[in-house]
Amino acid sequence: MIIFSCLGLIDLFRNDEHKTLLTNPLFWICTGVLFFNAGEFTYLFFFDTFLQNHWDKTAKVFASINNKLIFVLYSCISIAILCTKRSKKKT
Amino acid sequence: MHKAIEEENLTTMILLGSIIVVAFVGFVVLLAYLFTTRKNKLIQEKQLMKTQFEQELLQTQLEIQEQTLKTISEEIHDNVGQVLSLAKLNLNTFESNSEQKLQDTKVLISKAINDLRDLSRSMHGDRIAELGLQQSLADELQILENSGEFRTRMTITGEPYKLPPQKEMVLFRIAQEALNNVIKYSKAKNITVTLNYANGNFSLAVTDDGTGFDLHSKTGIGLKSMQNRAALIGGQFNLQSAPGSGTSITIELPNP
Repeated sequence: MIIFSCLGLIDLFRNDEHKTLLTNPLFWICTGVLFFNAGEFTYLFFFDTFLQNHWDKTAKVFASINNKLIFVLYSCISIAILCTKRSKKKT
Repeated sequence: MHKAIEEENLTTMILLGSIIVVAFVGFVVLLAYLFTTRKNKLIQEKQLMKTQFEQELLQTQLEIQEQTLKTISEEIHDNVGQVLSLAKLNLNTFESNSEQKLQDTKVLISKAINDLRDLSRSMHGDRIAELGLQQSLADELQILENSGEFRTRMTITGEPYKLPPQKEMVLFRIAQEALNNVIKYSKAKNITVTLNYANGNFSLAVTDDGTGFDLHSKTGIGLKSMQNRAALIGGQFNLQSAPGSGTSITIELPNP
């Protein structure tokens, strides 16, 4: 997911057609997905260790991080939907 | 106890790792965003400069064209016109038996002098500035009317006012080009020129009832030239035509 969102962002940055990135839905979706998966990366990396040791405290910390990242992801998706509606209105 | 410390350490490490990864991603995205914004700004500036350059080029072309027309006009008036006038004078004093031929030649030369005078007037930019757009267009329509081929009409709406000389000159040249197109291609019988001064905006329309043409077909340099001229004075060029429905050309000038 990280690689795909990075490729999406690179394509956006290279493309000259998009004058303002902040109004481009794809930019927000790629950014949200990238942040979410980058944040989850370390958590998933040590996922097996948690399961084996039953570390509750660590799990709680990660649940908190996960919640915040979900908030970031869905905020980005919401902005993307708003941008799509706006661009549809303009056309 | 050892396991608790290990858990604590790992939690801190992973927490820090997550923060660092997210911060790094954020930094990279921000950097790329700033870079792209700057790049887009530079592209826009480049396009603006290109447009300005094209406008200046167009302006220079028009000035050169005006100067050429002025020179030709002066040459017609001062040289060819004078020679013909002299020939007419000579014919008046010529004594011959073939009176009818002499009379015909006089008529022909008179017509040539008048035509040249009209041509000279329509080419001379200073004269357009002196007479104003309205009168210059009326003269142009009168020439067409005199040819007997067309019926012309000029409509003025709103309270007329004088536009800047440069704009009047460009508008006149556009109208002239439109009228030339009517003569050459339209097979029209009626030509209407409308000047609209109402509501603080100005618009000029040249309409004919000729054959018209398909807007999607290939158009000539004349139309492109009219579009460019209109753009030069900040006007909007509109063309309406369809086969069998005549043609209408409108130039709208907001806040002239």
